Amino acid sequence: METAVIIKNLSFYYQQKKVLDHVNLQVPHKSFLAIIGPNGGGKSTLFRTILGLIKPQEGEVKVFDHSPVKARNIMGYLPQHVSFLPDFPINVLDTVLTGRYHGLLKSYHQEDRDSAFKVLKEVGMDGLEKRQIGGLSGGQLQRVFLARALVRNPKLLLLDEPMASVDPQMQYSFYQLLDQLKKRMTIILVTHDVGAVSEQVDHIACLNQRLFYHGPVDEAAHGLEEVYGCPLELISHGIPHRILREH
Amino acid sequence: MLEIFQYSFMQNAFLSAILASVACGVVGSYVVIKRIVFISGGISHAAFGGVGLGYFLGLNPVLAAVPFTVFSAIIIGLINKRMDVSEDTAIGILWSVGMALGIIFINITPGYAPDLLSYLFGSILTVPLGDLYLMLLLDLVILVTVFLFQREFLSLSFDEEYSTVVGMPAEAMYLMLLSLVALSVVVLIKVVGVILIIALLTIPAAITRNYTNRLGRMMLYSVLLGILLTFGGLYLSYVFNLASGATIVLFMALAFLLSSLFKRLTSQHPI
Repeated sequence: METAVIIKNLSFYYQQKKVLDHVNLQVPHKSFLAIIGPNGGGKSTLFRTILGLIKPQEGEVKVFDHSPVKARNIMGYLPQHVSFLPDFPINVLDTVLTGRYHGLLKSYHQEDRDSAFKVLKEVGMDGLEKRQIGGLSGGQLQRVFLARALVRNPKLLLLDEPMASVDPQMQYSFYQLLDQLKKRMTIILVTHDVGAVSEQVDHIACLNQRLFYHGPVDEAAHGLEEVYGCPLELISHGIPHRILREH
Repeated sequence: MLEIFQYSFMQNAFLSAILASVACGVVGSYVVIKRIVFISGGISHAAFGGVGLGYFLGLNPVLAAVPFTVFSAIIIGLINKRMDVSEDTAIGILWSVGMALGIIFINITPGYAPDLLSYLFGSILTVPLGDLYLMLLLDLVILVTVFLFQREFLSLSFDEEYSTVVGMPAEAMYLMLLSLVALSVVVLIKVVGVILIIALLTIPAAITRNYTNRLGRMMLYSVLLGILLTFGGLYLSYVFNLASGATIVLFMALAFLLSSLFKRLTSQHPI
């Protein structure tokens, strides 16, 4: 079975502060991993090393056996925040198209536009292609940025706090979509919200500078307590809501 | 009104107004949407160092300003990206260092600097033919670069981090954009002077932003509006015998005020 991401002994320091501490992680292809941990625990930093946006001081990251920078065209990324002015002159379609960038001086072709239309339909934003990006609700915006992450048909999808601006009703359909996507690609989702773990998730990893746990969801409760330092109830999404073992 | 065109200096003035409007309409659109107004102010003032250097070396100051200002723009861009200095601190420092260098260079140049003030406050009526050719060349470089890299510049202005993620050399593109700002600054030096350049780079684009959602059209409208407003300001300065650069800027500011009021009065949905 192919391994999507191999992280070996990864450490990252920022201004003398240790953000990631000897992290070891392997993610099998077409699995769904949720990385949970408190804010400031290094989750977004871990993503940035996988994307090659920052270089770790120790250890290495391999994505489908390539370096992160070489693997960029098979990765899709939904960042936690995208800050832009509400009246920035770009519409939904063009935002998604930027995800299909081919290289310097190369223009977008018809197949790029077709992919954009297709992926916008998949996230439920069809019909809104010409809408200005500033005229969207938080949930719609999130779907557009997800479409941007998906438009290149990535093998690895990285989602950073995707549920932050999404209401519970839409969270459910979001997870349904992820369930579909899981058949085509590896998904890694990062969140500080313990309650966000859904039943579609295969594995959980608990990260707070160090990786405290990595394994199936059912046994994660103890690892999560170590990460957060207090007793927790792990509630899983799905109907009916399951309450997992509490320590 | 048309009798003013019999003077060749007036003809040159209107030609330089057109060439300046092309630069500030196109590049100004990026300045406004990417919110690099303060950086552009820093680059404009740093340009004065190039003017001083030109004097010192005995060259046409505007010509000497080209490499100096591009260099300053790249330095500002690199400090922003690479060093741990806060961006507006870095800009503030380079803003004044550029000005100070210009003053020192002029200081140590033997003789008298005749048209020093024209570089600070503009002197659209004394733009020589040689400068017009330089402005035309710079405009062409700007237009070709923007055309070639429009995808990159748009993606960069909207979401710089994601541009890197999709494989764009985002830092290089950012430095290229700042270099275009530097070239526009040089085009605008003689028209309104170093101190007022920022008005031309921001006001026409700030006005047209409210009337279109497509960047290409925003640039076109900014150029046309720029021509209209600089002509208007120039004409008013002729009629009332006022400093041309400052009159153009005030006329543009008035247009911005009226445009904002109009928008407020006609808008049915508060933004």
